[in-house]
Amino acid sequence: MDNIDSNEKLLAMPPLAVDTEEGLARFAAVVERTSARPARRALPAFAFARPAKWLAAAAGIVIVATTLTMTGLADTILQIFETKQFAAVSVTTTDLQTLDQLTQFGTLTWSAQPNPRPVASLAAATAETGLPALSVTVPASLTGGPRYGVLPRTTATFVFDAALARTSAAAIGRTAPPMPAKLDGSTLVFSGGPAILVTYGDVNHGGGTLMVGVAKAPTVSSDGASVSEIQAYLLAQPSVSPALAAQIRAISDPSSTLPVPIPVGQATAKNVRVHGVTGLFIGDSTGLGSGVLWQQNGLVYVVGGTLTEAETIAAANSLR
Amino acid sequence: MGAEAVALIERRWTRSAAISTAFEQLFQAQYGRVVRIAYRVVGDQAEAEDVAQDVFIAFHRSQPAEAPYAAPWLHRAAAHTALNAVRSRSRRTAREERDAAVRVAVGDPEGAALERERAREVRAALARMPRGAAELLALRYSGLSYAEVAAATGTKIDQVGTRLRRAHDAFRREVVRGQHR
Repeated sequence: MDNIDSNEKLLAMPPLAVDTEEGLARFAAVVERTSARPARRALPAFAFARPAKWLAAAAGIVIVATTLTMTGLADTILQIFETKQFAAVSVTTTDLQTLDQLTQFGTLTWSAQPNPRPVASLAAATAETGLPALSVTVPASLTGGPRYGVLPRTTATFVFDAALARTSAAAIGRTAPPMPAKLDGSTLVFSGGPAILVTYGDVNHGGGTLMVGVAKAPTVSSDGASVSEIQAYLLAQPSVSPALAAQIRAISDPSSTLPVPIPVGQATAKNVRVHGVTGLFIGDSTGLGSGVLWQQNGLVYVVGGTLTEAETIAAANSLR
Repeated sequence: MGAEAVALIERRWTRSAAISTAFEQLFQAQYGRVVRIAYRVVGDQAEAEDVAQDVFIAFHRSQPAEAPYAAPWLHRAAAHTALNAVRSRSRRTAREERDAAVRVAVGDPEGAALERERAREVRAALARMPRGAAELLALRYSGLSYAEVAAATGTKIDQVGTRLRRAHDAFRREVVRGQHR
């Protein structure tokens, strides 16, 4: 036993912080560089094939941002939010961190993590999702593709938890505003998908990219507490900046407007007309990438990539 | 779509084109453990990460990501590859000397020197002792359970305790031997 004790002291090591994402990026780069895979895959990969963690985090931020906007819903037992249009909400890096942390006011549970995967053909994608086929005019400068991916329908349940909110606030030395008793334990159900994403271009060799997506419009259901109480509570948090709160309060039709966080200094957004409806155009600050979102007949469409504004709008309007 | 978003998607795309979904899930689940196993042997995080990369490359080239034995294979390979690295020492010398110089320059020189000496003793003892016993210690002291150690080493779980005690005895003998050199 003496041996074991003294050995354990020798073998003890300082705790290690391992960056798996960095490790994976490095690994992928080595595999790419050494051509450790066949030159062409029978089933080409899909832009969203592996971002479960990233997509879940992004979806979580949008979900919480959506929660913040639902002030217009009446105080009834069950209400539904359905995405009919989009509103740009300028957010700072601090805001994004805050939005992420808002899940500490309750527990977010996915029915299944958003887990997109590649499929062999557009026919397979439409058969699997029940969504219409997408056809788009691809800029002549793009070579490669199309590649197809699907995201099955996913739901997430958020349950407010007063004790968790107190613990979370205490952990960072703050006192959270008291959660209304009616809110404690109330549940929101977020639904997203199914979705299809089609990608063109050859990113592996520095070429341009075009992504075209369609999804069933995301919805939110609420039980228990009124959503005006939810909004009042969340916007009262000291970690929500007044600027962000003001933008959210200003959304005129919060029961059908999906707020889209736009990082300040990195991207800009404006309304554009696409297929006769109002869409939200997002461009990056360098002009190297852009995208447009719109909703039509219960479906949300997205077109974007390493394209100029004119190319993106043209591609969006060519969508059939 | 912002440049960062495009870049992120492109990175994901590039990555997903290179490796399968199943493999990436395996990597996400096991990379940290593989690094920690290697770290227990080599005593240096950057070197442990190099070892982990070698282990995953070897797995990727030779094994299906969905293999039910993937985790124990990786654990065993981490210990094995790390021990090879320590035994050869050739790949680490330059960085070790550079890192040591930096530590001494910026921190507590005496403490750093003692820590480096301790790590060197451990590595030397692990390198000299029987390979199977050294792997067993590396696996156990990186946080693996008895069941995981048993799976990685192909040992019955009820024999792990006995083998660990023998490994401790062998390690102690090598540490003492090293101190008398």
